[in-house]
Amino acid sequence: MSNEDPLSKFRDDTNGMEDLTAQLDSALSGRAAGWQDDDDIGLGDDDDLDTKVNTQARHISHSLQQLHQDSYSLHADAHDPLINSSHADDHMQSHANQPNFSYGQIMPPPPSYSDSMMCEVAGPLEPRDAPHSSGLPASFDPLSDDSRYPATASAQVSDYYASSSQPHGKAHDDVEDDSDETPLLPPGTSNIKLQYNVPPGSSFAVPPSHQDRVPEAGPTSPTGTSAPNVLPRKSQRDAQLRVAVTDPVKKEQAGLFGLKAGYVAYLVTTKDAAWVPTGSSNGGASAGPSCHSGPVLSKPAAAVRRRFRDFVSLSDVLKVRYRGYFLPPRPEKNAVEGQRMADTFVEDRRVALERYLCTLASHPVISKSEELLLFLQAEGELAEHPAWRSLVPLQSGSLVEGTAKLGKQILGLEKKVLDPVQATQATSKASDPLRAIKETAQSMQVADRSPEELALHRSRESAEAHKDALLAASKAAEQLIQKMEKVALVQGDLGLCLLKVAAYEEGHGSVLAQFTGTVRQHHQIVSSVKVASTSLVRLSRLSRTATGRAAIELGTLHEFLALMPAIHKGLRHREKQLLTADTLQGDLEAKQRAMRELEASGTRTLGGSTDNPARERKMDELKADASKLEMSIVAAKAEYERIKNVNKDELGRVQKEMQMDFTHMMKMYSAAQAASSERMLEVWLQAAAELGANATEIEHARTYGSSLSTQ
Amino acid sequence: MQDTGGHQFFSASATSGHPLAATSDQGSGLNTTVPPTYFKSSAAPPTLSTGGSFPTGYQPNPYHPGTPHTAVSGYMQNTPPNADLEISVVEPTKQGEGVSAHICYKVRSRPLLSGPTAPPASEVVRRFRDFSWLQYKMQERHKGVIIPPLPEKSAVQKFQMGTDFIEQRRRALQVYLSKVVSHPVLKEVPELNTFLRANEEEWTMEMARWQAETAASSKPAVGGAMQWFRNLQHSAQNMVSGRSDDSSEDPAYLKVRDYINSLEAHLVEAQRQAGRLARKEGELAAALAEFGNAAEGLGKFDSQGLLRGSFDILCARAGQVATTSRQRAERLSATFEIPLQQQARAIKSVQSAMSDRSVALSAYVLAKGDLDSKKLRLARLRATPGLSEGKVVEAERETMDAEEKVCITKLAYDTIVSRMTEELNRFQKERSVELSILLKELALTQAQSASENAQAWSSLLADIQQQQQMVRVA
Repeated sequence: MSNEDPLSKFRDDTNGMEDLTAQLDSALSGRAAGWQDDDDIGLGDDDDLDTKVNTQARHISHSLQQLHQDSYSLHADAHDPLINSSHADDHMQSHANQPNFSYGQIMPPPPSYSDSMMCEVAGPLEPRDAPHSSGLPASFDPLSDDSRYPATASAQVSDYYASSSQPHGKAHDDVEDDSDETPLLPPGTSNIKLQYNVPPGSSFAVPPSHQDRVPEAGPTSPTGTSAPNVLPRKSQRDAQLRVAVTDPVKKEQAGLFGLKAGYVAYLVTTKDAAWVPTGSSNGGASAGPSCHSGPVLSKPAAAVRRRFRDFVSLSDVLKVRYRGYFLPPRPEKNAVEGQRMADTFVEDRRVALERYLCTLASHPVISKSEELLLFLQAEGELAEHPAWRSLVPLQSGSLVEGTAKLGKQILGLEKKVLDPVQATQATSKASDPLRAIKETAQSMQVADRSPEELALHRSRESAEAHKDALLAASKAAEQLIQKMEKVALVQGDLGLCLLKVAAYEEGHGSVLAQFTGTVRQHHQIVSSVKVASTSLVRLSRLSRTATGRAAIELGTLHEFLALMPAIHKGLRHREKQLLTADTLQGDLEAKQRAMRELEASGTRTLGGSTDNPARERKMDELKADASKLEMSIVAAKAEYERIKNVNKDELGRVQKEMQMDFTHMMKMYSAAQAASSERMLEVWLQAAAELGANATEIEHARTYGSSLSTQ
Repeated sequence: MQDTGGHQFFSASATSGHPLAATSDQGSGLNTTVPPTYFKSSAAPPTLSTGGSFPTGYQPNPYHPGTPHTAVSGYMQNTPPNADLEISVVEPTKQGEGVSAHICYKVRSRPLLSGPTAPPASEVVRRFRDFSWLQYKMQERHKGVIIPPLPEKSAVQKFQMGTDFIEQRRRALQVYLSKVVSHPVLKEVPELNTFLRANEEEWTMEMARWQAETAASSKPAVGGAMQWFRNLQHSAQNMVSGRSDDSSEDPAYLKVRDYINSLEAHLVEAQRQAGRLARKEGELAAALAEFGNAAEGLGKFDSQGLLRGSFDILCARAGQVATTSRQRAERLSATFEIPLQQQARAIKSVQSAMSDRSVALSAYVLAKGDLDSKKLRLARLRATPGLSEGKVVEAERETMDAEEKVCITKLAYDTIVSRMTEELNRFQKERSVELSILLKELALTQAQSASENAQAWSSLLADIQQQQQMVRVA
């Protein structure tokens, strides 16, 4: 148990946070937050469902994207973020009138957005060393949070450390052991102290000022691309496999009819934490990865080229082979050809794909699956890899085939009985319509269910309600972020406006000052307006940083929301399987009845002595069908039991992850809010002091919050 | 044209001159309205120790109870030091219904200095219209004086008569009167005395007379329309004379005028942005409360109670922060936006005084032109032999009249010019003090709420941790 304080980290972090705001885009835009209400029981074709979910997801996340684009533009022009970012606002003319005006007229133009932040806000205040007044608890569970910060951000922070020439141990403290967290971790993923994007053994003992070298060696950016990395959820961060998708390369390929078709190949790099010798990591935290059963990769690291088609193929394979698991949603396909090669699209997709792979890699079962491992390691073209080809399901599910089959089935030309292999597979509406119709009919019947099944069934209903609550929370969070953004913008607008006033007073006010002999007052006006306006501009930046931070933290909500369809689907798989078993049972009963009838009619009409070859043949057929059905039923039931257990495990896993991630989210969110509030307090107090507030007033304002809460 | 301009100026001050009759009748008027306790306190010699605060009439600021040095009172304490009277506007009460509904305020004045010459304390009931009477009279009497702006007359808000609006206006009226009584020129205006002390009967008569006057002269009553009318008159004069008077104006003054004119736009824009900020902060507070509720709803799905507890705490804290943010938004509006608006309106007063000056100048210029032409005519008449003596005498008389008129208009103009130099000086000083207080209060109140928020969020953090520990132990 260490005495680490997330607030102090945030205080330091405020400086590097601008880069995190950039990550807001990547952190959120890849998240499809959507849901499909799948009511057509037993008939929901999976691909169909996918598209619907994705459509909705696009719809819901549209406003999110808006926000992200805003922040894109924030970063597009570092010199004049305020003017730039006010495009969403209703009042632009004030800026448009004087396009040359910026706060740079008063302050030297910052070399970059984040640099200016450091000099201006952090420089004069130095609140990190000041004891904070808000009565924060001295001890706090470290959550090894700096692993959340991608290489770029930590580089910024450490740059700052280096430049501030203050020996500082904060970054080092951040990565203390957090053994207290262990009970919350799901089995199989807990206790790994390795950092997400910091190679073990290289950073923890190194002074923070050297941390800026880490990114080059970091596993997440082996190709040196400066693209922001995905921030994994808390519960995913200590996965054994660490996957990065980087370096998208556009390739051309001869398409149909001689047209050139382009595609993008991504570099997928994977590191296996279990390959790292444990002795070399001297942070203490990473010394005992005992829960790793051993390396899952055949080598410490793998790098392969994959195109989007391969990801689709992977998700298809997983969908078929891991029924009942809550598989994360695959990034959506994009139908618009022209858009596909656009840089922003490629970048969005890269981020989404990385997130997708990270989620898969953090799954306790999927991460060890041969499919994923093959995908991550197989050299060359995946589609041509023999092992992969054997995994890919046969392309036998076309609608044409299914229609032909239906006709035959109705005419009784094709054998009607499911074999055991088919019985363990999901029903496909397209390739076997009769089975689908039968199962739909079966679903109408009320059948006795085991209490276990009932509980799981209820949990699907409760997942439904849970989804609604998540959706509400996610929307509220989104709204909150938007409003925060707005306040930050308007703060900046007001600051700029006052800055203009100050500039005007400075430039023209001297005439009045000279006319009336009030030069002193004139200077006072100019200086106090300047103080207020620069504070407001600072505040605006602080607010925007806090907004970015809050958006990242609250993104957990969106992520779980995106997972909800997968939960729904996984639970549906079990129900469908049960339905298959029930339908088979019904079929069997029908066959047995037919056999009895045949027998009875035989004995009635012919006294049971005469041989009737036709009847004999029919009887044999029925017997064969029945025995096959029995086998199929056994197989279907076994499959049902398996999926049921998978469902239960998965529910428990998600529950645990939610607990951990949401608790973490709230902690981080409130810590970030508290930190930014404290920072704002300092800025305002400084401004108040410059504007002539006396010590009592300042002290009163400083302790205002704590004095209220003690009352 | 020229005549009306000059005449209006003098006749207004001559006819509306009202004797200090009201002061002696104070008792009869007050007996009916003033609670006995008030008399007790005013009978005792007032103490100086109260300074600029308003112990009798001061209503505690609803936004921060129990905090004495808050933004609003701080702003109020900014009553300039040379005030003889302490003014408080209190107890707004709604009178009448429907269209005739209006708010009446009790206006109390209390001398700050005890002594034989000090005027007695008073309390009268006045409505907003009565304030605009005072404003009008002061404008008429003292051209060139920068008269403190009246609070905005808002038709829309008036009909709503919300408590916020009433409280805002009460505060603004108090600030307004405090500024008037501390103004070196305006505090001597007889109408101020009438306003502060006239009993109900006298006041009704005074108002009736005013209404008759304004109806007879069929002028636009007050404020903006008046201003507009004057400007129109002035520009018409310029068109008639075919030139601008600016050529005969002090170039330094002209620069000041240009500066003031653009300054207003800047301040109005600043005020607008301040209003936006207040609104957006209010919206943020609402969104935060909403988020808290949604989180609470989400917490219900946790079977083990850990998350539920945390989300509940989050909801409570978010609600708390939302409340403080909402208050902050209101405070921002009260302590920053409204005073900023008053600043912008004060600029309007300056502009009004400046336009008075222009009118006086053009009257003077025209009078001079008139005199020149009269002199020319007289000379021509004298040079012409064989004209009747009567015509020459007539011309001589006209010339003398014109000369007198030049003197009068010059005096009027010069008075305004010298007064304005003083006034601009005073205005500038007052403005700089007000502005820095305004901004200081902004910083302090924002710091207060930042402090509150920091406290709330870090205790949420502590609560969640504590809860985690408890769950872990269990």
